[in-house]
Amino acid sequence: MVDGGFGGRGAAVFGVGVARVTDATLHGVFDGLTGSDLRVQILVFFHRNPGLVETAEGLARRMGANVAALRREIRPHVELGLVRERAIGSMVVLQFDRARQAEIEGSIERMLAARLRGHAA
Amino acid sequence: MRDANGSSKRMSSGVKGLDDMIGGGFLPGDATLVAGSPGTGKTTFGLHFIAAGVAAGEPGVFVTFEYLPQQIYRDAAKRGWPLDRWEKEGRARLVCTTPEVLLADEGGTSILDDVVREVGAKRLVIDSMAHFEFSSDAGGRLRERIAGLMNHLRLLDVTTLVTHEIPQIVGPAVSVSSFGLEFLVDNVIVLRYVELEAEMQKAINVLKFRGGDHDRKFRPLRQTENGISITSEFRGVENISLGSARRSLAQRAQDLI
Repeated sequence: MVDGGFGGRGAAVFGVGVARVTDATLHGVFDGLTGSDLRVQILVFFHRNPGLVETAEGLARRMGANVAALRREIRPHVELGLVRERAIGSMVVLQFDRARQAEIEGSIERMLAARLRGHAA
Repeated sequence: MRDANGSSKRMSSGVKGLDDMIGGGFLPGDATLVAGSPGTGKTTFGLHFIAAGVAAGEPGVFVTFEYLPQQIYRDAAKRGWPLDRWEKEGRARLVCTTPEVLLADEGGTSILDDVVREVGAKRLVIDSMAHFEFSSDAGGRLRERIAGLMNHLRLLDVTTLVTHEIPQIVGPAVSVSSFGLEFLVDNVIVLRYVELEAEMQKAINVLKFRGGDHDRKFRPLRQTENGISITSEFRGVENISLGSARRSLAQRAQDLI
């Protein structure tokens, strides 16, 4: 059973409420995280630099990426809850949600364990 | 904090030899500027300060504008400071951002306020203040803005160490910063290169210390795999502040004899 606790749009990717973990669920998660090279780079960059708090322009500058492409490719991470958007002053800043990362990693682990148990049975 | 007699518990800088130069450590709530030429160890200085806090049960926040956290984690780990583990344990926090984002106000609070409260920080490092000069909205109000920040940090009850770059590698530095940062902090520590007998050495000097009397000598600063240490003093030389030291008259006379 997929672990609950994923609210918002990320829940759809994880298939909260689905009785069985299916290949489609796993594919949905991985596709959301790794659908393009830039999406993977964003994930790796935040994973290595979890304390980064930046605007989309600042993040693109630090990564050497195109701002428009970054804005587009970061959406799945925001929808999954891995990257939080926060309005502060006149800016919108992006920051990694470490608690969410641990939560998602735990869920993937449990999903994989459930799949392995299914295969063994 | 200061007691009824005006005395106060000192906070260790974490740098071997420095606490002895400043009467035991920094006074709680004070702001210290570590200004230095490139590569003299300003960031390492800041990491020492955070590491000493973790050891003393005083959580710390390290704010970097320039280096990415992955570089700071690596440099800290090389010196035996598991910064990433301290973050997981809630004893330290590393934030990489810009001055504009750090201080942007939302409903009377900023990212800096939030992160200081989250870890219950007693120590704060900002590396480096030079980035405030690069900010687009700095204009002529930079000094006023930094003075406000320093006062705000006192309200947050943190002891602060900020770094700033001195662009000159050697030679006399006529000022520490272009906007008078040295006047806005309680303590000023200068790190410089000194050419001595055809060798480039690093020197440290406590230029200003509000917490009482302090050592005024230039002392050699050594960077080892465990960080920075100040263990001895320059003997028989003068003109260190000019960056090109020479044997003192007394030393030359002694050498002749």
